[in-house]
Amino acid sequence: MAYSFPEEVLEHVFSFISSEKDRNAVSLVCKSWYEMERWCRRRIFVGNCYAVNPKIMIRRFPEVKSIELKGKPHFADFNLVPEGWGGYVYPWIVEIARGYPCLEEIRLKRMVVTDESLELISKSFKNFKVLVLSSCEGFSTDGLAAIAANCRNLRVLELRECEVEDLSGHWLSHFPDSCTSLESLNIACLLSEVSFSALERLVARSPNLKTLRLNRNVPLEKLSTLLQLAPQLVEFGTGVYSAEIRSDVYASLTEAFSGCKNLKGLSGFWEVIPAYLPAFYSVCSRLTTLNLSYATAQSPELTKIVSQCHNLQRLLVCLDAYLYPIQVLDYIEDTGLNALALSCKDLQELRVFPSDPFVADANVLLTEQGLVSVSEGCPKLQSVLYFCRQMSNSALITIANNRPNLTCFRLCILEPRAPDYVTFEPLDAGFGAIVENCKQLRRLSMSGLLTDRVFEHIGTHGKKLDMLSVAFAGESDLGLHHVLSGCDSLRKLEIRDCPFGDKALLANASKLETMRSLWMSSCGVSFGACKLLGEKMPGLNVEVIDERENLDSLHESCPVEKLYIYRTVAGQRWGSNKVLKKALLVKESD
Amino acid sequence: MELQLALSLSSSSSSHSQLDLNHYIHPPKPIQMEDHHHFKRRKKLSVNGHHVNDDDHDHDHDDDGGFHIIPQTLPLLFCNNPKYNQQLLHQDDDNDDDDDDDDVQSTFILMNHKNCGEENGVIGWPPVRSSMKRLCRQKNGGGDGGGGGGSDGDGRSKSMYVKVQMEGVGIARKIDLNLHYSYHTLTHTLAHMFGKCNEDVKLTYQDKEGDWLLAGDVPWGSFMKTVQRLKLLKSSC
Repeated sequence: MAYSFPEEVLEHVFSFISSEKDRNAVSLVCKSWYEMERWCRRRIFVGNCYAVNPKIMIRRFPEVKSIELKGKPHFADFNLVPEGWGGYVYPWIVEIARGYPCLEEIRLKRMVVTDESLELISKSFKNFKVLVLSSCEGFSTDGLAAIAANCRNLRVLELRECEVEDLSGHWLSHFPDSCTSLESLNIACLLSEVSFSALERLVARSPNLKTLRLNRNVPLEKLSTLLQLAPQLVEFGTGVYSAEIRSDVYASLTEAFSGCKNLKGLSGFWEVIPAYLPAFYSVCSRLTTLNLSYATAQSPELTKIVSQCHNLQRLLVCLDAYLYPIQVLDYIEDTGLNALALSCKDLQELRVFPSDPFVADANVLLTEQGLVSVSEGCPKLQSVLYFCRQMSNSALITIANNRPNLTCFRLCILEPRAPDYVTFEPLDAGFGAIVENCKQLRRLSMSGLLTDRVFEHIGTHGKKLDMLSVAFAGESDLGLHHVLSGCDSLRKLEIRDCPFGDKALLANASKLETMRSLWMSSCGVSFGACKLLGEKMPGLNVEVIDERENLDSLHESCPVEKLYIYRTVAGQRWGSNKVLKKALLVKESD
Repeated sequence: MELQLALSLSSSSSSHSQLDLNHYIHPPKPIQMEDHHHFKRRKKLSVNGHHVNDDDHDHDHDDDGGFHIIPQTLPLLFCNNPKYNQQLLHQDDDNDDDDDDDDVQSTFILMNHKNCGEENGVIGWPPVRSSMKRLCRQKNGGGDGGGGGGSDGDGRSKSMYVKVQMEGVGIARKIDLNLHYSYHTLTHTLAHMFGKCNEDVKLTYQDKEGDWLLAGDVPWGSFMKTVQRLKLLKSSC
């Protein structure tokens, strides 16, 4: 095909190809396509910051405008990864500051970001536009001040669930008066007060602001001021949603909300005073996303809200235990979830968190009924995250039959190893039905009492499964073997507290090179097996994370506490700021 | 010699080459599959090329003579992780070590009665992010939901659940008093909870001494310090 299209034409064609997978495929066609593609690749996604070296990346793709990096394994969200493990972004920033002076966008997830990193970002990229930090930590408001001050064309600054050291609320004032380009500002995770007047002025001079998510310290009385300054908002996150009930505050809030004709998403709602909820009823019919996960919604309020949100596609809610349908005598109490099933036919994603997972109350159970109702009533439901106290195989089978279009199913039964509450059997059949019926299932998290049988089902049917999370499940290595040998598309596997040892892992060693990563903690993998994997598999880093004393004298057959295996072309872990005392890198360099 | 896990699964679905590193490990004694479990496993694992037949089912291969169910991992020596040992033992149904079993169970039971503070329970369980946990910790006061009487005057950051009953309704509810600032908001919320209007109900409460009083006479702060339970009466009477 040497006589194919001229370069300019091909480049133009490639510019329409955005997915990484497609881009990778394009680059494999022939040498000239490889060359052409690498010069016009603009976005890079690195799912594991230790899988590749930034120098390699910069050498291959010289003209990148947008980078996304992920650091710590997912279980870091639940404090299973010790402090100081890694995920430091600074070495990456140093390299890309040199290699990509025209970089415009940086997105980081689960990484340690220091003020130095933020300062370096703010000074290195003249045309920097987008900074999104999700579940990151290690920086303070000083770093944010640097970004505000130096990034002249900043469009997006989003801090999602980050841990930020709050030194001062005045960092917002560092946005120069000439900065009018802001399109998205998310400070919801900041714990202390930001200067409201600085915020007000910033919103007032940002005509393109579409997303504004406040932190809880912005009082309810001030919301109407901001909404009136930015009626063009598409996504809005309130602060604390409670105040003394005053009719003037209520009236101006109602009016402000009704002025927002483009509002599609609402979030925030820390501490809700129900009397103020009707203030936003006027926008309900346009809402596609509603995040109430920080508010404990009482049944009547939630029912009223969802009954008006006919276009709702995404709902996150934290339910008072009383909102889950309870069966008392002969009737099941009508609840918010039932209202959801009746009213929101466009619902695609539902996340239900429990507000008091540890309050044991005999009158009330977090049951499975709400989820069954929603699975019946919402034909477009694809993604579920559901916490509950009891589950049955028949409920799961019903859900599987109702919703074969599920792509993400995460169920957390609060008590580890809880069996089917009706039959006391394991929940193998239920989860088996889910993987068998839901042929497009990409993500699955399981809980409850589960034997090796469920893994057999998963290995047989979970062909599209990309990510699997397992806790307190299984009986033997057979379980792990089913998954590793059967799940063709598996890329991320995270396991905790399961009786899996060396056998399945060693028998499927080459599978590990086709996956992004494997996490196993509190299982039975021996130190010797880890060393063996490290030795024999050059494409893998095998990290033993163990916080016991005398790690050096660990016997070969002793099980390790935590194990993190990932494929890499970067060799042994590089660029960490600290030498980890307690974690051992088990890989022989070639 | 290639070691295969002798399973009737078709491993041909996986495109990666069969690389089984098990034979590098010094082989332990053949491990039997014991069908003591309620849920039978039909497959047998083989180690070192020796297939374990059904005939071998009853034979004790354990050299040291003492027979007990061997979990499906390599033999553990010098393991000083008591938590792991407990879990391992917990996997076996036929358990000589019932005490250890109870310990594991009690860990979980313990967790159920605690707040989200994972220090006392299983780390990282339930899988709720720290931002949500912070919320949970704030909602859970020191005590249980039964009584009121939050210990500090400004109980904003903690929750104070009290039982509420509506006259004529069998099922009691619970409400977090810390979400409210005044009798007005409280009555309003409670009325809505039971599907009534503000005007149709009268709020009464039981104080620390056990007396039932009409709400609204004492300042909100004093009310908060003394309220134990609430009851809504129909105001037509």
